[in-house]
Amino acid sequence: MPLARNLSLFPHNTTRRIGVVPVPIFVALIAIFDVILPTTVAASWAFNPLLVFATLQTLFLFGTSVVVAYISLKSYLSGGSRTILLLGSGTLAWGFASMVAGWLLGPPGGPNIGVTISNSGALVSSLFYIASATTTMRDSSSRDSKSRKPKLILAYGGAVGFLAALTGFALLGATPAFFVPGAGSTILRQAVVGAGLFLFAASSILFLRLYHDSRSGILFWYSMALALTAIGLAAFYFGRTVGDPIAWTGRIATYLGGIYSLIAVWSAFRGPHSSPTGSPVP
Amino acid sequence: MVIDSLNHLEMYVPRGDLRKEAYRILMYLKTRGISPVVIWEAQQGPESSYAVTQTGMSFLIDCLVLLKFVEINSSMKKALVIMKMRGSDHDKRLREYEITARGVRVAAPFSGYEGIITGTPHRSLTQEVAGAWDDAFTWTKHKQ
Repeated sequence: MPLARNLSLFPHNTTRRIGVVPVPIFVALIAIFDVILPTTVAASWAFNPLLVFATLQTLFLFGTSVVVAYISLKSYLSGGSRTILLLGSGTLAWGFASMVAGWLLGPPGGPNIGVTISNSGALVSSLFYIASATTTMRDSSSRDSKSRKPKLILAYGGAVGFLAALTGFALLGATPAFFVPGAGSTILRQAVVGAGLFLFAASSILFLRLYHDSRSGILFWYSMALALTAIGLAAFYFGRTVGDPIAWTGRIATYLGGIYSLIAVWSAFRGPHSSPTGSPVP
Repeated sequence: MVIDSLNHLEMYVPRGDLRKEAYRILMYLKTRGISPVVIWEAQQGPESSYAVTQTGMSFLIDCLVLLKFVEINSSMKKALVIMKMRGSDHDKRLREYEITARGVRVAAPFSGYEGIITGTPHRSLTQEVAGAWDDAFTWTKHKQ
């Protein structure tokens, strides 16, 4: 543990300033691509190696979400904070939907199935996040430790179960179309992605506000991760077709968001720590 | 029959004879069909955390329950663990217990802590991270 605490090459403020830099860069890239890239050129530049995409989704979004969901699980079971429970459920929903979407983006159902799951997962996840962010200001801990495990199973299982059911319906063709090849995004997709984008951005701002008071590295990196995910959703919103340069800018932003969430967990290793007495050590 | 405690015997017999005398007493009670519950006040230190009787008498006992004070969250708590129970796959977890007006109440295990028996309890690495995670996201509540 002392070794982990000392593994910092730069002062915290410097690393955090560097951490903010990708956010305006990705916003600028999406804006530039949106302005300069005609639809026909964007479609001709579309690059969709399905195995690579699925692997990236699994590694950077599902893998990182499992780590965060596990830490949130342990944290909720010992502390009972609903903020943490909702956060863990949100991250698990996002990771699960991203992974399933990654593996289902190709034929036989075409990109619609993957897009439906990914975008719906983003909306479900963003609802959990905004609920989590709004409970940070209220005392919402579950004092009854016996009821925590059932609540955890309900929240985590509900998030994954809902998306698994949605996947089943999407595979059966029982869900409304989100993406029509040749025509592009449907209004439903734009509404779902727009709502998810707004809620992710709002959650990021609320967590950032909490960071402003506490100066906790965990909050900083996690709010940045949410901001990058919101940027990724914005790219889905503005993208012309699946796998075009705007879509890849968004994908890379969300992958970086996954890495940032891991940095948030790493920050928890480094402190501020809780001693056995439960009080933070400066 | 409850013998409270066997340490009294220690005061009256030479140290080398303690095991033999204890054996005689316990065997006598057994032959009379009496189940003895023996209490032994053990000296506890970090170097002898897992030694219960110091005199090697555990073999005489069918069921060995260790009671211990532990310091957690800056308060003394009573801990209980079953060290041995012949013929039983017993619970090995260290649990908190309380002596209440209605009797002994055995509570939940001390989950997430390590080193309780050795007298240096600290949260496990995962628990440390989970604690820091909780502190970060519930900071405003703690402040209030």
